[in-house]
Amino acid sequence: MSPQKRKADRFVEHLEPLQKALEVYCRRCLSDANAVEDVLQSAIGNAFRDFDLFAEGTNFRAWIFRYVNLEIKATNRTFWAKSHASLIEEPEADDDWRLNFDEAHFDALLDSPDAVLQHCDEALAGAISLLNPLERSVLLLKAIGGFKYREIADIAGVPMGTVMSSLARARERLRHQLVEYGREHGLLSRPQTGKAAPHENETNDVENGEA
Amino acid sequence: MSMNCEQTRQHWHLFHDSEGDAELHQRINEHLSMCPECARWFFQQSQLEEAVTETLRQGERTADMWDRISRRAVSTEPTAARSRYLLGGILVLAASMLIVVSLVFWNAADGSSRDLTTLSVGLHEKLATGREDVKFSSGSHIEIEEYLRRQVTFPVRCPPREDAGFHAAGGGVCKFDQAPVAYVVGQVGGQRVSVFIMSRESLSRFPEQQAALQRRQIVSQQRGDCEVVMGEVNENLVLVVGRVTTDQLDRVLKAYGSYHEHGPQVPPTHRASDPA
Ligand SMILES: [Zn+2]
Repeated sequence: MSPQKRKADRFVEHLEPLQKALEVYCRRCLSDANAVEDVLQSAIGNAFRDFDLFAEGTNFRAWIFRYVNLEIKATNRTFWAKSHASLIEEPEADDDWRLNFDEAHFDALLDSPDAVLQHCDEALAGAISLLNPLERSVLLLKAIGGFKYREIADIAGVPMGTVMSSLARARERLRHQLVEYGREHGLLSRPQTGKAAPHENETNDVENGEA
Repeated sequence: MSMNCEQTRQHWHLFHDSEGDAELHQRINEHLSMCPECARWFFQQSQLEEAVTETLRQGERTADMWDRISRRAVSTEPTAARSRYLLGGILVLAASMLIVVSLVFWNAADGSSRDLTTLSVGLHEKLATGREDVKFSSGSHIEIEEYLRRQVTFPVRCPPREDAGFHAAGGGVCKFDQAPVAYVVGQVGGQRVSVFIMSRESLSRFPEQQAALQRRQIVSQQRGDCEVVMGEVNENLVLVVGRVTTDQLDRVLKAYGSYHEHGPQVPPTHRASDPA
């Protein structure tokens, strides 16, 4: 067997179990839904080219996600530059929602998350698209890739503190979107008054703060 | 120094994600064991996060797209060489078919080869008696987790911790019916216990266990003197094996990938109908 064929076989053996996660990650992260195949093609091509540099026994999962993430970043930037000619970067999502966070409906969401989540893949996708690019990739690397903070920092090329704050913020925004969606579609019943809330102040602090 | 409610809740992300140091988790656990409000709050936060994660992870692999990507990105054969491979390919195909046919008959004769419970008990016995070496020895949960994450391509979470009665001693990797497996060995109450961690997708290789886990979230089975408790935990299929009670194994399983023991996260274990 030629060395090149051996390299290809080894690469495919590593890649195959990750294809679903890479594809789901890519679909959820990309601003342009039509770019999935091109992005994966380019990322996988680059990774295969560099596969000689990959040290067997180290973390292939994180290694390949780094290539896909780089390609997604570049593609999203181009997409935004094209569709918003006057903007250089995707704008930061605004923070207005923090002012009118609906505690009562959030409690209802906590009580029965499935009531909303069973109906809202579209709403979730919309909420994801409202996150800024870093928050989006950190959240999805955690959820879809199952990575540790240190691995996410490595893949996204940011410090670990940034990973932690972005993740906390992304989760918070997403929850807000779910509450909005649940409320608008009547999926969340307001909890009965008189519910035990001995730590209301602390809850507020944490929900508005970042870990 | 013990933490108050606010300090505890501020660390929920680290706790939920099994990040941060063991001492922090210990302190959080101490608070949660004394404060039912925070225990409930943590449980609800984690429940919501798991539900969101589950939804985000949904999606399919597009087979024909990946075929195209692989063909273009990983094509290694120059055109001139292809005809040479063609004859070789036919021979290899014929040989493969012969092997597949033989395997089908072999499997029919020995159904246990695809019985996940039997496979896990077999390896557990080898590891416990020293007939199989543990590849990586360490009593540190963090070291074992880091080692395993380097060895397999699916996500692996932190091994069950000492507060669940599990004292880790090492880990390694192997395969069950071609499916990659990460394992952690240790002790519960002085008895050897192994924890086998697989990708959730691997479950489709083992019809009996798959059917049992479709009926129950946690299943216990028995082979010889060994008890096995299994369940799907986030991205993983996890089996805990040992000659201890199912309650002890159950506790270890529930502590996998999560530092907390509070809240009614997992329903009680039920014994599946056990064919062995
Ligand atoms: Zn408390």
